[in-house]
Amino acid sequence: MVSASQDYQPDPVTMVSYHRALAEHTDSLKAYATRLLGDSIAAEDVAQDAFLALYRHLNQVPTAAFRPWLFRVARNLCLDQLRRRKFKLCLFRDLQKDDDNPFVPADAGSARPDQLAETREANQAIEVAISELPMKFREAFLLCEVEGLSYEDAAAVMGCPVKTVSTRLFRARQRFTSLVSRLIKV
Amino acid sequence: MNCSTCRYELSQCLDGRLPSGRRAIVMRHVETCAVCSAFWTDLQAAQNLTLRLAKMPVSDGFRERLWERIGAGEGTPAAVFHEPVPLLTKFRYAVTGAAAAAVILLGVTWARSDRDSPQRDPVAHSDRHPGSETVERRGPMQPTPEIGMQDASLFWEARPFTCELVAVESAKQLEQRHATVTAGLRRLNQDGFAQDAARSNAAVQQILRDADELRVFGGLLLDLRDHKRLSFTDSEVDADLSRAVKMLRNSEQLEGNLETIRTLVAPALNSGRLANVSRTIMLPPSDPREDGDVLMRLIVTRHDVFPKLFIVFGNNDEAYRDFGLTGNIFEMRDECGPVWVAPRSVVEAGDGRLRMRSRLSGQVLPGIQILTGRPKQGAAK
Repeated sequence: MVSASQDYQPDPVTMVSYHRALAEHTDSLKAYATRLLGDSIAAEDVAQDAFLALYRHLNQVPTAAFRPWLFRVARNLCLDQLRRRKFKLCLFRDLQKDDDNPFVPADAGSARPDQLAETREANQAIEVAISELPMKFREAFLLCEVEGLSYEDAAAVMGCPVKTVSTRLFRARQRFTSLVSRLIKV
Repeated sequence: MNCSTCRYELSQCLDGRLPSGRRAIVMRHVETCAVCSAFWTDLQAAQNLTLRLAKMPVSDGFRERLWERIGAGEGTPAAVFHEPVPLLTKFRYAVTGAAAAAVILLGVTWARSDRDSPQRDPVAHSDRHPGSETVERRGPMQPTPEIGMQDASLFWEARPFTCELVAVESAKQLEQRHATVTAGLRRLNQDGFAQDAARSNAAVQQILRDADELRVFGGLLLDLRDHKRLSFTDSEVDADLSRAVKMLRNSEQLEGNLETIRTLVAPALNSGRLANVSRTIMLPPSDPREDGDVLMRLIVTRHDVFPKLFIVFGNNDEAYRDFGLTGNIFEMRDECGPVWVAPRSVVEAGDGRLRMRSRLSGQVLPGIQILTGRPKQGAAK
């Protein structure tokens, strides 16, 4: 653990921005980490670590850059975990439970049971399609297509040029459409 | 517009990143191309699907746990700033490292071969027979055998230039000069020879020249003795040589005439032991490093002697012999690298004709053809 700037006390205005970021980006950060790691519990830890890191660096990160900064930190943490758990994941893949990722539909309150079942099935297919994308394409797809980051922010998160993001996103979309083509036709 | 460009731009169009003019062009193509039209529809449908993706809310105690950690003063995880190194970068590092290692290895190998070569050569040469086709690589300074192994064999068989070689060559030349001076003195003493002024004068000048060269060779031998690179088995030879060199040095101060010869040159060289100097010198075991230092010093202090002892080929061309020099090419090293030399006594004893030819073109270079001594009858022209 890096204990630098622990004694820093943010000013109230910055704290308001921090709370807003906590409210707006926590879920999306967890979703991003979950789709990178394939593990919702570890993803929640990653999201928490990212917000902890942001708190410790509030004096260094501009308010407008909170979102890409958080995603960048989450990405680093995810890649670090993937690197360390590389073989562990392979060994215990079969033991993962389906209910690790509990299904929560976007509009669960107004849906009929058959619609819920259909949506759940579609969601599973989409998640599988995303998980089958190569890591570089998956990153671009998750950041731009799913989380809605701009190309510039995604480039900052991925540490590559904007043009590369554009190309990776195009490739990811091509593969994704072919992977979920059955769903699209339906 | 081709379809692949159109599809790429459709992807950008989906994110609103295409300028309006370009967007119009792309859309016109989509209207006319069924494949691109289908792709555009699929892209939009896929985006709609991703919008329907399930939310992943954090657990209820997320915030509480976060504030607890913040309150406990927990620091930033180290992995936050642990940037992954791209594969290409890793590959680049590996290639750079391998190249650096190769360069270092080559440098070390070159340095070792350069340092070891003078020590290895005498041993290697002692087992080599003239005309043998066995070739031993002797380091990176060797000329490349572009003109064929047989022609280049002289250089492959070049021996190190040692104090022993210099001593032996000096002694040989000294003996030869002693013989010519003695013969000249004998002629001068013949009845009636002194009356022929022209012949007498020519003989005197020849004797003085030979005596001067004898002094130079004798001085070199004495220098080698002083540097402990040789000794005389007969101390009287040592004494006679020292005396002769000293007297001949004094003769330089006098006029070059018959009187000088009779008063200084003849007494200086009257010892018959000077005719057998080469048989009385004893050479210590050759030490390449010591030899190199001594030779370098002698080349500087007695630069006029070496051209009288050796024919220097330089280091840019490859020489080949027509006759009699196998095993008699030596490698002399100075600050500029190796220089190939041959003992003058060997060249003069043979046909005496050496040729040089360009390493690059392989053509004989008549401009630097060296002619010394007396060509043998029937020798190849």
